[in-house]
Amino acid sequence: MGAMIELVDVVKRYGDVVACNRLNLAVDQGELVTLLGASGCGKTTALRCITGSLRPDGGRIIIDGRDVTDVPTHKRNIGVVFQNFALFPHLTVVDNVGYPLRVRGVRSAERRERAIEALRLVRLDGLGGRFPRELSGGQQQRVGLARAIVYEPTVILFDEPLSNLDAKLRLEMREEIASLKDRLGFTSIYVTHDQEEALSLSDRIAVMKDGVVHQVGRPTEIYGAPKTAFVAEFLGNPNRLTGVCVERTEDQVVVEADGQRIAAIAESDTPKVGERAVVYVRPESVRIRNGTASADESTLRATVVRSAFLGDSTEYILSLSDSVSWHLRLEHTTRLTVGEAVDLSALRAGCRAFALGESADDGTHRGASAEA
Amino acid sequence: MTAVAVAAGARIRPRVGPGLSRLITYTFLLAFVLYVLSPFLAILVTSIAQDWFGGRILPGSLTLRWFDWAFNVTNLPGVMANSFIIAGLTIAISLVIGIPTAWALGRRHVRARNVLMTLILLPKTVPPITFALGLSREFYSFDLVDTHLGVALAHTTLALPFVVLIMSATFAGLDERVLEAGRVCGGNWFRNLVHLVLPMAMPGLMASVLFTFVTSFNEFTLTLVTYGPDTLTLTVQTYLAIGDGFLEVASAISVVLLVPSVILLLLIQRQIRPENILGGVKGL
Repeated sequence: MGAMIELVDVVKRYGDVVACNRLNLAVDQGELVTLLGASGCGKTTALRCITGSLRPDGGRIIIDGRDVTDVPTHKRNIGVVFQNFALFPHLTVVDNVGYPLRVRGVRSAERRERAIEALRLVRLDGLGGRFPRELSGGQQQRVGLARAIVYEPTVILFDEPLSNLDAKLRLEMREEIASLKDRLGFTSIYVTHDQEEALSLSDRIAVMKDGVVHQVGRPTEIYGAPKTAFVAEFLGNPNRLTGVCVERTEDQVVVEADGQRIAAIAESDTPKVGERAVVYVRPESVRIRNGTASADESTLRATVVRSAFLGDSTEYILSLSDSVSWHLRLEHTTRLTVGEAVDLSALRAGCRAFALGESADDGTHRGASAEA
Repeated sequence: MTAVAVAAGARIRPRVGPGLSRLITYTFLLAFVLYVLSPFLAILVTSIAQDWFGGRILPGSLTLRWFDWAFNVTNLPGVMANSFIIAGLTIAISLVIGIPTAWALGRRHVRARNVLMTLILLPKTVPPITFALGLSREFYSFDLVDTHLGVALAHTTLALPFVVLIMSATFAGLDERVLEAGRVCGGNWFRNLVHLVLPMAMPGLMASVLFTFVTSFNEFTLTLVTYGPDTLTLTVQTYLAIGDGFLEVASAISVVLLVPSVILLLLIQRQIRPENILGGVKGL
C-alpha cells in the first residue's frame, strides 16, 4: 500500500516568487507529517495546493492513490482545520459539524447523531445548540476539529490550528489533536511555524525554506542530525560559532574561532580543512566544566555577561568573544555571577559543523533531499 | 494620565445649577422633537379632522370621511396596487442588477472600481429634476412612460446605489476562509451559495429590499415624469389631491403613504444592527 498523500514535483509561483519549488513529499497511512518553516517558506501554499484552493503550476497531487490535481476542492474528500477556525457563523455548533454530512446527503437524524458523536470526541458534549460566537477560542477550534473528522475523510490537514490560541490552550489542544490521532488513526499534514508543536506532534517533519524542503525525518533525526545549516539553526535555538575548519578526521571536524577550538561531528558534507565553517551547538550539550573535560568534549572560555531568572532555572548570556555570545540555562544549584570567567564543555555529539560558502545559506540546498 | 486630567478638568469646571442645565437640555430636545414630528402631527390631525379652520386650536369634531373619500373618489386601492407593483418590480430589478455588481465590487479586484462607484452614485447626487428630464425624454422614445416597468426602471436608478453599497459591503465582509471551509467540507458552489452565502448575506439582503421598497414607494420626482393614468402612485395621487384643493383627502392619502415607512423604521430599530449583519466570530 503506497502513500496516502503524495506531492510530486509540485511547483507554485506567484509572479517571480517561487512559493513551492519542486516539492516532493509522501505521507503514509496514519502518519502525521508536519511542514515546518517560517512564514513565507511555502508551507501554507503547499497546503492550499492540497486542499485545491490553489492550482499548482506544475507537478501532481495524489490523495489515496487518486490524482486530484485537477479535482475541485469539494470532491477531494479532505478535512481541514483552519487557523482562524472558519466556522459558519450563522449555524449552531451541531449544524457546523454536520455541514459536511449535509452536503453529502446524510439524513438529518443521522447527521445530528454523528455530529454529536464527533463533538463528544473533542469533549464538547452539550454545547451543540450554541452559536460559534458564544464559544471561547479553544472551544471554537474544537468545533473546527469535530467538523474535520465527522465524515471520516481520507486525510485531515491542519493549517496552523493553534496559532490563534493563547499559550495554555495551545498545549491543551496539542494534546487533544495527539490523542484524537491515536484514537482515530487519520492521516494528516500539519502546517506550523512552531518547532515545539512540530517536534511533539509529528511522526515526521519536513523543514521548509524558500519553497524547498530541506530535510524530512523523524523529530529526533531532524533535531539531532540536521542535514543543513538552516535546519540546525531553525530548531532548538542553538548557540553558534563561526570560524575556520582546522582539522578533519573520520569522526570529527575541529573549527577554530578567535583562538577557541570546538569539535563537531563529522558528516559527509562537513567542511574541509581551511574552509570557513559554522558550528551549531545545542544548548543542552553545553555545561560548566568542573574538573577535566572528557575526550568527546571541547573546552571553551567565556565570560558571564547577563543573567535572567526564569523561575525553574536561570538563563545566562555568556560571551565567548566580542562578537559571539551564547545562552545557557542552568539549574539553581549552579550560580554564576556577572563578569565571572567560566570554562564551558561542549559535547561533540551536540555540535554540527557546516561549510560557509559565499553566502551563509550556500550549503543548505545541497542537502535538500525531500524524499519520504 | 489624560483621563485623570480630563476628570479633574470636569470637576473644576464652573457648574451651572443642575436644574437649569437640565431645563436647557430638555427645552432643546423638545424643540427638536416638535420640529421633526409637527408636520406628521398636522397631517394626522387633518386627515381625521372636521371643522378645523379659522384659528381653532383643536378640530370641531373627528371623522373618517376623508379616508372614505380617498378610497372611493380617488380609487385609492388601485393607486396603492400601482405603488406596490412598482415597488416590487423595482426590488426585483435592483437585486438582479445590484447583487452581481456588488459581488464584483465587494469580492473581486475591479480595476475601474472608483469610476464605477461614482457612476452608480450619479443619479443620487445630481438634482433629481435634471435627471428626471433626461430620463423622461429617453422613456418617451422607448414607450416606457405610463408602464409599471417604466416607472420601476426610473426608481431603480435611485434604489440601485443603495443595493450596491449595502450588498458590496455585505459581500466584502464574508470571510473567504469560511467559504473555503464550505468547499473543503464538500459543498459545491450551489450548496455553499444556498446554505452559506445566502444566510450570511441575509441581513444585507433584507436591508436592501426594505430600502428599495421605501425608495420606490416614497419616490416623487422621477414618478412625476414617468407616470400616466395607469401608473398613478400614492405620492403622485397625494400631490394631485393637494393641487385639487382637497387638503384633508391629501392628508388621508399621506397617512396611508406613511405606513410602510413607519414599519420600516420600527424594523430598522429592532433588526438591523451591525452585529446582525456579520455574525461576528471570536478570534479573528
